Amino acid sequence: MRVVAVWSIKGGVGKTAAAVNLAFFAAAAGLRTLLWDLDPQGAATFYYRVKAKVKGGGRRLLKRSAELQLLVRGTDIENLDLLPADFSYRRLDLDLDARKQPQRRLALKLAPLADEYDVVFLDCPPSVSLASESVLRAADALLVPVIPTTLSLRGLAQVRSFATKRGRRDLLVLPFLSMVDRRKTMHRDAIGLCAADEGFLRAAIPAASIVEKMGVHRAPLPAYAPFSEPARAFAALWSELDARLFGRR
Amino acid sequence: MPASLCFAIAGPAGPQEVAASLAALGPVAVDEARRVIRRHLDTFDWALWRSGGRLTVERDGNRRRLLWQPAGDGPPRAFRLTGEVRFAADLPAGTLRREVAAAAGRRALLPVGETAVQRTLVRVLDREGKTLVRVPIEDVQPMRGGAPAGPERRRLLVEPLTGYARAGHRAAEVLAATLVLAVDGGDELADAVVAAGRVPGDYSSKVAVRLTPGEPAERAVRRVLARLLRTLVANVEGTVQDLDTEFLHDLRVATRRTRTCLGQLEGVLPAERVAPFAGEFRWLGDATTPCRDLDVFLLDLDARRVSRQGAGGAALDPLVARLQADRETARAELASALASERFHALVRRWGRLLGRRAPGGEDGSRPIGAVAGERVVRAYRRLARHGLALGPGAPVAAMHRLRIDGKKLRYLLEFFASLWDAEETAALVRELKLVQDALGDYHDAWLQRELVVGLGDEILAAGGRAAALLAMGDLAADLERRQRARVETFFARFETFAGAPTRARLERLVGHRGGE
Repeated sequence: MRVVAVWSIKGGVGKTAAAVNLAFFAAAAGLRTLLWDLDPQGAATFYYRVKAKVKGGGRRLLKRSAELQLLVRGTDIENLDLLPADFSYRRLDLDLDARKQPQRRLALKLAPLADEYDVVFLDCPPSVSLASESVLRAADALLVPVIPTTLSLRGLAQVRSFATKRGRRDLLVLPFLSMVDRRKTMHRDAIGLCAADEGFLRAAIPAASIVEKMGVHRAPLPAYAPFSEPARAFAALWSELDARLFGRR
Repeated sequence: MPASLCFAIAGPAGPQEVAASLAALGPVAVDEARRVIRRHLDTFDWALWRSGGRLTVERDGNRRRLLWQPAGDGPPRAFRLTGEVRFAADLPAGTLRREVAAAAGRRALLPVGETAVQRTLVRVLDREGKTLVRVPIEDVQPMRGGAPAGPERRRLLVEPLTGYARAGHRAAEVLAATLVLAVDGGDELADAVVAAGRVPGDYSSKVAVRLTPGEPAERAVRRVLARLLRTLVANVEGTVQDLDTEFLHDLRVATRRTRTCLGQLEGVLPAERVAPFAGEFRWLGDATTPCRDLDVFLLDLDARRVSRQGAGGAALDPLVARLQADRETARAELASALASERFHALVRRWGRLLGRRAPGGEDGSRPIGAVAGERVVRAYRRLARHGLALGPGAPVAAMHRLRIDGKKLRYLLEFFASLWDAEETAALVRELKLVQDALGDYHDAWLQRELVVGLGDEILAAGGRAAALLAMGDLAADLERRQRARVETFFARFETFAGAPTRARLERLVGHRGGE
């Protein structure tokens, strides 16, 4: 089982769109896929039409005795299950702090699912916190959406530094360009900078209103606009991620 | 994964009636009916079926998907399919490949039957429009050569999504209360296979002939040999078509077993009638050797590449290409041997001889229980005598002869296993197999090293680079190490197997004591 955390310090950079659509492509490729919505806003949960409610909330979920498998919900997409969000996740840091080994807690919770799933996507809230450290310890790969602006690239440097210090030694840090608008000079310039950075995945997700319509359709993008440019970009992003996670397939 | 339920529908109820019943639970969606063709896959020896798994390629227009139902009662899992699937290794990485590979091993996944299915999906939704339960209604028609073959059956499945088991139970209750349903004991795979003219489980390479101790030896041995002939013939087509390496393996083993049976059970069949066949089966066995040796080497190289995660793999490409070319030549020669009149005459005449009752040799009328016990003990004593006379520095040829002695004993134990205590026989075969594995691995390593060393000049002459030669040198050194390690393992295991306690167990098992 490979764990992919979609994480960024900044909000509104396309984390949830990436997690929701990459989980779709992973499932369609035949991988048993779990999407864990850790964001109290519950957007990923909403897109997949699952009720954003976890019995007992985050505090109970973090208990050693709580079985994650009992909280999993099947989505309308074959091979794709979801662990729904809960509003109580806004206090996840406090709940983690109350537990022993808080940095290892998410990894411990995921361990029993190793035989059930091939890949787990963690849709993380934007923050640098104890929860982020726990995510980094659980993840095999950190997928970082980067809007092509100077400020975002500066943010990426912070993410890399934090991930190196707090993540696993073998953690893959994989930034990719998100919400790209090639009409903007600043975006075009930043794309040039990113192209020279070998750590970047090559696929770039364009900014498009059709992506925002996931909230209207309450479905992942390929389910209602499979041939749209952003859907093809997410497919390309998945191909790269797949190769990095699983090698030859 | 929640359990799914399968019902047979009695009466004319269809998707609309099912949807009307389920409407009592809340919103219901009826998807457009689809006609799909399902091709059911299994290995030639039914490895998936025996494991309880079902693997199907479903074609819906141009769209293809793979359905995998592991053992248990969960709904099948679906996977998008783009390329061809011939082996488990062709499947997407993950649980699917792991589970199928665990059952199928290196065997090819072959079509064993086909069904045409009219499928309408009824879905029970919640207020958000999310699916809670899938209820497919399927009219399943077994097919043969693209035409209907056998009766069509209508069935209904109740498949709750993960986390919605309660909704699944409610759906099943509502359907059972409003429609005439029966729990479906049918099996789509079995129907498809029967329509294709086979029966699930109709092939196994195991000898598995039920004998009774009092049965005349001549009759018992003829039955064993007839079974071996069936196995041999069953594997000819797959060997010629090169479907997977195990067809040749099974054909070769059936040939070797036949030769062992003729040699070790001398005096049971009339000598003058079977004598001409010994040479013919030796010819057949020899014809299989070059291709099988190269198969083993190529499989070992593949396993080495996987275990080293591809490291150094590319440098061995020239060697692998050369071995593959040699293998292709060997396979073509074998295919022409199997197409020859000599082979067909052998099968025909041997089958005729086995099919007729005839007076046996001097031991033919003795009970098989006594004859088998005597021959097993004799084979064991020969193996022990030869093995104990050897040491770690023994020549390769002597070790190879010992390996053949071991095979003879193993085959005899397997031919007549039904005469003795099953558990103890299996335990002794397992112990012998451990000894044999070490010897087999020792011999393979020697043979492969000889091949690698011998091919060095040719690879260089064909423009091979230094990296290729260095990698071959590495490989040769590894093989030599493996050979040395395995010979040590062999002698450690053999000492126990050839010891007095094992001998006493064997004699007790077969009810025969050998002399000192």
